[in-house]
Amino acid sequence: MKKFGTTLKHMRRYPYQSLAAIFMTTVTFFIVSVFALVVLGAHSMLGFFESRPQVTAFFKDTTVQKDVESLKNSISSTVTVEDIRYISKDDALEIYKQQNEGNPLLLEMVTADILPASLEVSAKNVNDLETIAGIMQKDMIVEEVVFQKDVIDTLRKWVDGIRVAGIVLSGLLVFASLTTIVMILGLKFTAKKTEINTLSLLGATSWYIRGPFVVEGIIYAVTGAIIGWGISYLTLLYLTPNIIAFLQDITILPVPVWLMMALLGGEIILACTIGALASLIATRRYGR
Amino acid sequence: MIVFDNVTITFSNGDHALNDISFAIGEGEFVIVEGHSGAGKTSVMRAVIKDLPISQGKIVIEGDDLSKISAKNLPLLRRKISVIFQDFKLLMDRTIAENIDLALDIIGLDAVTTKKRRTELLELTGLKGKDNYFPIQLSGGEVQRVAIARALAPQPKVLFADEPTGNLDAKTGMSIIKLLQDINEQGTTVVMATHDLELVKDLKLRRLRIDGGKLVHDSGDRHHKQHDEVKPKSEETTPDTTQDSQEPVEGVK
Repeated sequence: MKKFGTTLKHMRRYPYQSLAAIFMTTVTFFIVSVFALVVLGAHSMLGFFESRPQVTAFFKDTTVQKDVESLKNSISSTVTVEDIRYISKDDALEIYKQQNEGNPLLLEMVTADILPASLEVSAKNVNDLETIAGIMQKDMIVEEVVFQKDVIDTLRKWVDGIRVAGIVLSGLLVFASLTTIVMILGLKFTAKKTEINTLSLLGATSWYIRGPFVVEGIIYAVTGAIIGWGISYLTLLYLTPNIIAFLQDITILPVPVWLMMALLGGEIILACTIGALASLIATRRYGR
Repeated sequence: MIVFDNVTITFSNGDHALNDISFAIGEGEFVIVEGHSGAGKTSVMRAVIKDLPISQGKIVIEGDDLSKISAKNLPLLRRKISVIFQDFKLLMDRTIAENIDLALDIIGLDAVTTKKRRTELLELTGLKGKDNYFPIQLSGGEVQRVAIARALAPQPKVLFADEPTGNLDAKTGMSIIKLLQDINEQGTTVVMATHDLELVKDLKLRRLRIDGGKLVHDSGDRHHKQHDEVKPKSEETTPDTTQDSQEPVEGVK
């Protein structure tokens, strides 16, 4: 508690340096939070697409139920499927009605006759999609095959790219925060060199001298982490209605509170590490 | 208690701060280390608290070889051997109470004990009521007393006073020496370094005279553990015939 008091005294004596350190860590943890949320959201989106019917075969109007069953058996015997579902013309009309219930004009113009029956197949393994599509395309009853593997591959590439960019940018910002705290604490440590020398001659231990600086470094980083996380959470809450409207069926929002708390916990652990490491480096380097 | 065994301290330019010095100080002694400015008195003090590395020889404190005391244990040594620095080393932006509390905080005393001990120290050093003054608001003698109070805070076994009468008038200087004698009578070993030979000439205490980094005189055998009353210079009448010879004795170790 005494160390905490000494630390607050240090911070009050050099308010602008303290603000600079907190600002830098706030920016860092804001970016870390944003990238973490984007990557988590993209993963959820990927999961959504992967769990949807990934290959859809639209049948010719002349197709009979027996041929459909034959195709289903052919697919099931070749690969392990997650789900296989036949959608008749009437089912297709029901789906169409649900999707366009707000637009009476579109509903009036469409009947079950003009909608094709289809077979939606989702595989357990995304790599099996190509095989399923191949079986479907070879069958004479199939008019068209809609194959979502390209969409998933593209999305996966984006997620990987965002993750790498996030790690690199966050890493750079963490390094910038670390060096900022090292410099600020180093300056403070140097400014108090005479006092530190006196403390040492009076029998103060290394921890007695360095402790308040370590606490100060941790306070900077943790304060920055909480503010950065808070800003990112408020931004997310503000944008949630717009994102939900944009993504429609893809339900990745709202982000559960426990997830945000877990993110905060992780960031506080990271902040403590950054703060402690920076202050130990500063007191060791400038204490020589 | 403190043994210097052929200690030499050589600077990088080849100059000797101390040159092959040997002496021993027993528990409860009051020893005066005298010599002119630059003779090596402060080097003796700095060597004892391991603030100045020795080049040759050995310093033993309570049976422990100083060279074998690790950096981790150095603070414990410095609490056992307190130093009143020539330049005081008080923190000028802190009050007298805060300066003393700092030394008490270092040894880990709680707030209640710290306050009690501080009050005792301020009474002992005649600074009662000066708690909230800053060093700059005090006289030279009072600042010296603050330095003494802070040095006594960890209840050291040995108190090194480096030129405690340095910038003081004779009367104030004698009052500081009297205070140091009182502290010595309570069982603390006191080592006082001074260049003011005139001020201490009447004190019947053991003297170590250092000149040019060498120990040139040690009256140790004749005046161990004597605690004579200090007389202010103005009260001096006849010279003390039991006093040590002021002549340097070469080669004494």
